[in-house]
Amino acid sequence: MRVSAMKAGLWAAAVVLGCGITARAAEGYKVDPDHSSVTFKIEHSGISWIHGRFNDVAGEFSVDEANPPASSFALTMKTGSVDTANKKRDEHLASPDFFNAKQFPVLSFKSTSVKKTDNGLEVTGDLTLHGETKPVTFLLRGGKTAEFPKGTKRVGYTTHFKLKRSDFGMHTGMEFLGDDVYIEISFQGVKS
Amino acid sequence: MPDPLMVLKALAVAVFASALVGAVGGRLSKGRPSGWAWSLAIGAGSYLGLAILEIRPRWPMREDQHRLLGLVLPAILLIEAVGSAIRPPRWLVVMERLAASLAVAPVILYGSIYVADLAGPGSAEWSPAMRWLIFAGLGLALFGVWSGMVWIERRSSFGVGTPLTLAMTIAGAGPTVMLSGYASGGLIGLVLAGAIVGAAATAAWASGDARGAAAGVGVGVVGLFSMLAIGFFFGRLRADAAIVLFLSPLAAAIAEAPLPFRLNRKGRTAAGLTLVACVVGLVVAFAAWRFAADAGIG
Repeated sequence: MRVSAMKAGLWAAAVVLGCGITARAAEGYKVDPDHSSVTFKIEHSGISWIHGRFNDVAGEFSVDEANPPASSFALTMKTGSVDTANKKRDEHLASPDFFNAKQFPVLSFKSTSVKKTDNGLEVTGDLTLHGETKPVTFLLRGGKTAEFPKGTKRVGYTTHFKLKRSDFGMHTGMEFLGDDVYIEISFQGVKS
Repeated sequence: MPDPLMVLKALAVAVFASALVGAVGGRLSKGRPSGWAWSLAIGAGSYLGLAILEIRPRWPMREDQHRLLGLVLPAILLIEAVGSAIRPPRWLVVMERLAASLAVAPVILYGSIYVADLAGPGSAEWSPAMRWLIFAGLGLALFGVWSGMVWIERRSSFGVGTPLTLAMTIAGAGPTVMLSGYASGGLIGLVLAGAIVGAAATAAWASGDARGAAAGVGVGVVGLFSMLAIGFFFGRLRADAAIVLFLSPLAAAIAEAPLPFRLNRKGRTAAGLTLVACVVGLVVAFAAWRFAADAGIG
């Protein structure tokens, strides 16, 4: 009985240590909003582009270089923080005609799979916007690390992709605003 | 901004469809449009007019507008139609009105940031106690104005005047909500106002008898309240504009009060409409001025 109790104790210790080793393999990061940006552009009247951004960005991710499929990414943006450098337009964008920020205050992305490719990480996940959740896939480039300020390890990534706002139930103003929205995301994560 | 020609087309469809359905309903109820005919007419006019603008309730009803068009408006149309058909005792009508009044705000605000933790645990803007207080306050305010308008409608010997007063206020609330950054919300008001005008026109033309106009009053008051609620809670409609617009139809009561000089029924209706038009016009003009000032126009 004593021997089997000792065996069980050793197994438990091995499992705990094993988990620790696995956890160290995947590095966790918290998105640094001061050095991250989510910008978009949309065609207006078919002749030029309106650019905008979300000022309130947050998220976290973990990167496992040895085993990329174990990596994960989660980003959120406050829809009420939309900023196109025009107060009246921003109010209209936050209204139920577009984002409906009082009903859907958060735009979120959560990865479901990560694949390593020659050009970076191919990330697939669920994008939830305006109450609709749809899968999106994009190529995440980067992964370079830096120390800023000294002693704080950070890693950065950039991606861009296109979505159709009508897929997310945003139909207002189709006669003067394009359906395609081009999104560019650049973010840094601080090791947590 | 929506295409003005499409808005005009939607308004025309709302007025015409409502008038047509009201006329058919009136014929079926022996020449005098009754409550169910009013409800049917306003419902047909509203939904057909809104269809022109591609505004319709969607399933699931995740947004304020979908709950307004998919739950609140059909419910009040049904309540008024059934109430008119079965003629329940007065106390039951009052209780029914109170229950409906208390239900509107929770339905419109369902699942919004005010009551739900949408941005993480504890992120709802109102605590449970506060939300029930606010819902009760809004419900009682609606019940009060609704009862006041029913009182005015009963005193008025030209009953279509009261639904017309409400239609005018809703028509003014439409552009005010649009100027507050919620274009599609405002359009609902314009179309609803058109539908009420269509039903009222048929009733006035049929016999001048306003039997059933109370249905138009119920739909009008609830429609006005809902419009202002979505404008205020989901758009950027200012509280002062919302309150003045909501109370403005009550100004018609002044024309029904005992005056030192006698006015005939059409004179009283015209005076009531003029009073309300002045208040609504001022609110719309102020909203337009403020919009232009904020946008740096002019």
